[in-house]
Amino acid sequence: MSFSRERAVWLGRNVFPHEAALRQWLSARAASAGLEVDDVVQETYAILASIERVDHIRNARTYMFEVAKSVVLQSLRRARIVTIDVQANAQVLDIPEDAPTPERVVADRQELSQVSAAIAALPERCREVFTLRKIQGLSQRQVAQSLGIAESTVEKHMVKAMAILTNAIGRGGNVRDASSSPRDQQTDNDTRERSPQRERA
Amino acid sequence: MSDPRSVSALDERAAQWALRADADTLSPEEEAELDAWIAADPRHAGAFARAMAANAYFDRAVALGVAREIPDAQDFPATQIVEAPSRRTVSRRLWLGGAAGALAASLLAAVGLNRLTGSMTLSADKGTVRRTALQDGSAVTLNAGTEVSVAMQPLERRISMLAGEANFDVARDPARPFIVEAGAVRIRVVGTSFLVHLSNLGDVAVIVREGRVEVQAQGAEPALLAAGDRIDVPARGSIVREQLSTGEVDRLGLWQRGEMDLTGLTLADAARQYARYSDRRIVIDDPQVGDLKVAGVFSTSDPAGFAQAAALAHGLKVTTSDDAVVLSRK
Repeated sequence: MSFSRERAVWLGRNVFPHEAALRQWLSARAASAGLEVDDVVQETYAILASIERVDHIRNARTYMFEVAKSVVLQSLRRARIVTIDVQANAQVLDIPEDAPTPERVVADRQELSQVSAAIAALPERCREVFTLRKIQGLSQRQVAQSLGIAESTVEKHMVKAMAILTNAIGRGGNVRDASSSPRDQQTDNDTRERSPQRERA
Repeated sequence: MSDPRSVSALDERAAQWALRADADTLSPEEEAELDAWIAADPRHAGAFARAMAANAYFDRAVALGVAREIPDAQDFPATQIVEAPSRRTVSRRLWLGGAAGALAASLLAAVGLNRLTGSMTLSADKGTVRRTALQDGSAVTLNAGTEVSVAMQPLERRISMLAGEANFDVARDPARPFIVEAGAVRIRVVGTSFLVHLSNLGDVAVIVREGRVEVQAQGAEPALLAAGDRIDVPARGSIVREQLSTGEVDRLGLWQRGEMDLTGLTLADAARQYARYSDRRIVIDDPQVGDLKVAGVFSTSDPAGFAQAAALAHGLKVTTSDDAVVLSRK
């Protein structure tokens, strides 16, 4: 493996949750520079995976945006596609503040239900395999045995499930529309607490 | 928005490699194949890193109890498992530290105090961690069982802590100092983030996460603390100052995200920690079971999930009822 498990966990915890926001931020800016958002995002991950240390990074979200910004600026310099000066572009690339606004707090609260909605919206076989493999913690072989299918088929469904979920969260795909769960329609009232029934459900 | 079900071939290939790498099933040949694939195209390294990140993210969501939210995850009861899951799976769960955003932030019970004027009392009940935005842009996060009173005045912002533990993220406003009073200690801030712990006995601990804080204990010279500094002012005895690592500072603030680090505690201690957050008690009658050690970061809202993980790690039996989770020897 080209980088450590710890780094993968760090990326999963600090970077991946902000990928959709980064894409949104990039979509206007990268396009005007003639860049593909996908390419900038991938390059950003490649850099974050390869830097030697991350323990000095206090605000990973801002850091991720900074890295993406440098990727954009570098390709601008390299490609010299545009005549506008890079400095002017750098201002367009101002990184948004990540203040703990009330909206952000609400967004955090919705994250878990967003993930579960995405899982619920998976094609049936993918969801079954994902549930057994990740939630029940069965091995690939155990899943194959319990569903009576080949191990290679289990892998195929699992790969599909992961790719769809990664898209749904990382690209901010419209999971809500894909889900029919009435719970999603509920507005998350600030004062509403998790009921004990839901806790155990 | 694009349909998340339309997946690019690159993303799918990256997911496949990530899952294989994560399951530790790569043969030396496959490992060479993965290296070759990564080297073949500059985009591959990034796609692989992203897939590994996403995989870790979903593992974490599962560890934080995402399954409870999925209607038909219950269709697969644990009893269907023929062989016990491998020990490695367990240790991997335990090793997932920290948080992906505040996934467990559903515990938050913030109340709209944005239009806060004058003085008022904020409290977080048992089982809740409460984050409240203040009128000046600061935010207060209260751990379970904490009570503070807040007075926003023209010349100062004053918080009195009556009990418990709170984190303060202070908006910069040099003209209006932010003052926290905890027991016999007074903390004056310009713009920063810090934790205050006030024990029932009146012992106070202040941990600074960002910026600078001035702490003054009754009858002592004010002490200026910087990020990473911890000062302990016991009700009796002498003041102790120490420098913490970033990791330790993070660990001490985990409760804000609905998590706690139980590494190094015994099962009995962990059960006591859970009693702070949940009415569903973890019951351990056998003292030898209570002395077993635990490791890892866990969701404060899921005592049953913790008990399951501990049972798998130590080969114990879990019996659950509505208000208790009993851990015993098999």
